Amino acid sequence: MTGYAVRVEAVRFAYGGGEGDVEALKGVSLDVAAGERVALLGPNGAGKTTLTRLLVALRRPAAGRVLVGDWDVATRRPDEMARRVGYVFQHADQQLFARTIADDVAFGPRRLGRPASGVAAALDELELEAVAGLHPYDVPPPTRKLVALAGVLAMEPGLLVLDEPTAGLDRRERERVVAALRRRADAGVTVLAVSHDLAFVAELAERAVVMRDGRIVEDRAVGDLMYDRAALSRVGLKPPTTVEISMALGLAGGPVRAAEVVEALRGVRWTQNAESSRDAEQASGSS
Amino acid sequence: MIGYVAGRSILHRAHPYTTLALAGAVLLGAFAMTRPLQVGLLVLGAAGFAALGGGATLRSSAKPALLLALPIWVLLFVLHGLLGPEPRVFFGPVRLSAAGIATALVLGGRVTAIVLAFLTALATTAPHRLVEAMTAGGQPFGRIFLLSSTLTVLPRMRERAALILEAQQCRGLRLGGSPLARLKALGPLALPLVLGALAEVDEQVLALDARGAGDRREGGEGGGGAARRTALDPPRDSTAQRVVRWALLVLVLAAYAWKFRSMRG
Amino acid sequence: MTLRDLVLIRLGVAVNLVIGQIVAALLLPVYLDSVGTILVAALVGPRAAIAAGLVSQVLNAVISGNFSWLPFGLVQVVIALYATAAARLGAFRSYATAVPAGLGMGLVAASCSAPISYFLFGGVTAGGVTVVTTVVRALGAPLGVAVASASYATDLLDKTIAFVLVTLLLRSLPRTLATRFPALAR
Repeated sequence: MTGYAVRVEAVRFAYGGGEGDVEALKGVSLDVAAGERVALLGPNGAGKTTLTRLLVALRRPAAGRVLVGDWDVATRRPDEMARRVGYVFQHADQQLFARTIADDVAFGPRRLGRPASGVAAALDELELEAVAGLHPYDVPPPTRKLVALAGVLAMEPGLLVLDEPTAGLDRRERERVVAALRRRADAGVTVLAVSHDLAFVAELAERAVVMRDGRIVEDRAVGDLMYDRAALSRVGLKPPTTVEISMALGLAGGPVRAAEVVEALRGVRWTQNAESSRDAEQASGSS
Repeated sequence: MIGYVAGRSILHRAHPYTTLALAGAVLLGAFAMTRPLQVGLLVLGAAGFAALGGGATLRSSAKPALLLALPIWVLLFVLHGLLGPEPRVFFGPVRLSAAGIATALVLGGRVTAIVLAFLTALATTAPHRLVEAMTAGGQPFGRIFLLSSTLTVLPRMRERAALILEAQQCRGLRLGGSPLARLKALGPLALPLVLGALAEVDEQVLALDARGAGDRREGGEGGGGAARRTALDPPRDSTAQRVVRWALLVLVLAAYAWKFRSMRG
Repeated sequence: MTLRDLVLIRLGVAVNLVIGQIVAALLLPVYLDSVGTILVAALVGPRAAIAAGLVSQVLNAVISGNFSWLPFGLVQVVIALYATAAARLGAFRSYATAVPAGLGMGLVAASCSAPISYFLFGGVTAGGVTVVTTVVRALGAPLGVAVASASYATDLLDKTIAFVLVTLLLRSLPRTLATRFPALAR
């Protein structure tokens, strides 16, 4: 699977289009390389969702240019963009309609004339085979959201754009999403995710782009941003618990993913245990 | 803008039933009138009604009323003036049907009067006062619930429909194409809207029940149970207003009696 | 009427008023503004469907400002009753029965709305129908014929599509939901 690069050039966008409307995007430029995993962060109303809508031609920029691979988005309809971009809406659980989950997941590939093999693969990646024969509205809304994600993965897009993919999911479901997205990224797919969930961002992304008031205000490595408490708090965020622990203990190497933090903690536990057992020895000796 | 405009006019202070009775009388009266002069008087009456609401009301009801009536006037003059029966009269360069012009004036006047009257009622009746009045008047809970709560769920439903339209396009659904293709696209667009809403029904019932909306049992007459919840601050009614409402009823009945008598005679 | 019935009526009204958004995006020459009423008739029953139809008519007027079309509320009552009867006779069980039932609904609805349109409004009512009326009239047909043919043409198409859509909806209901509508079992 080939990933697509994204190029956003000096894009401006205002809702309503009339004068005096608040500009949602005030000149945004962004380059994402093929296969990169990028998180789009920022407070509500920063313009994150608007920016992602431009990538699938659901909105047209008032100025500037958007490219996905060699396609200029301005010349394409949303259903054409679906050949390259898989877009997962925040309330994706509201778009299901087929009589079985497998049928619903197959809708996108069928529209695009893509092979049905993608359906089984997507169901497998999100561990949905067990419910594939059920009606989408017979499973709880979080599962429905996973089904919607599977429906997009089944279309085998080269660019995945996700709007708050973990909102409303529990820890186990979130892990399934991370695993599926990382597998796609490893295969070369570009991933761009809008999220407030920094624990998820820590697991998924390598680069973080922060927006505020229709502009990009930070663009740096995730590992770097997670340890910058001031930069995060400027946009109403704080480091995920794992990074807080790492900061408190001064773990070496600035680990970000939970597994990395655990690995780093292994080294710490030994010395701490040694100290505490020495304390215990002293305590028992003095009594 | 269509909708309530806060104010202190006599219509704002009147009992909601009185304002609605005035608009209703214009509606029923309009169809009893068959001559341009009668309808002209009714339009003047509706304008007078709007003027009672004060300047702000007049502005907020007269403008949309005229905008809504304008295309109807145009169509009426095409359908009845241009395409109407002989004999013809000249209006500048165009020949129009004489009888057709009279018909167009009657029909256009009706629509104008009705729309103006109801927009005035809408602009001067605070929704919460109408709910209070209905509650105090012993209207069944169901009727009040349907009129007051349905409007509140519409924005969410609209937003959902818009999102489904976008989401299915992102799954490769094309909105254009042949008529058959567009007809087939109805399924993927309408099904999620309705299925999603149906799936939330039980949750909504529980939420409403918890808020005490279900303080009534099954059965009852007229679209709702026998809810007799107490109005907190019901709008004040008066004998004068009751007289006005009864007088309007008598007027409407008289208008129809006169219409049918003159039709027979 | 139970609280659940009321919530379902509210849903039907919302469907009536919002489905036009989808129809407009697809540029289909229909309204489908009674799909919610027909759905409530099949899921709940005649009284609920009548309520859904009438509330839709009133709210439509409140939203658009076009209060002069309130007399067409009578058509909503007829649709509600016909759809309930159709549901009880099993018209929504297959497309083969839904299409003729929908055509019948179109005939009945047009037979109701054409006289209202002709006698109360001289054939000039909401957008699309009036354009058809005007075209037919311009071709030389008498006004009554123009109004009737416009009404029948629009309603036959509109109600047939509406019936097929409701059939599709009922067939697409998940089992857990379907079992909660006793009216469906009939």
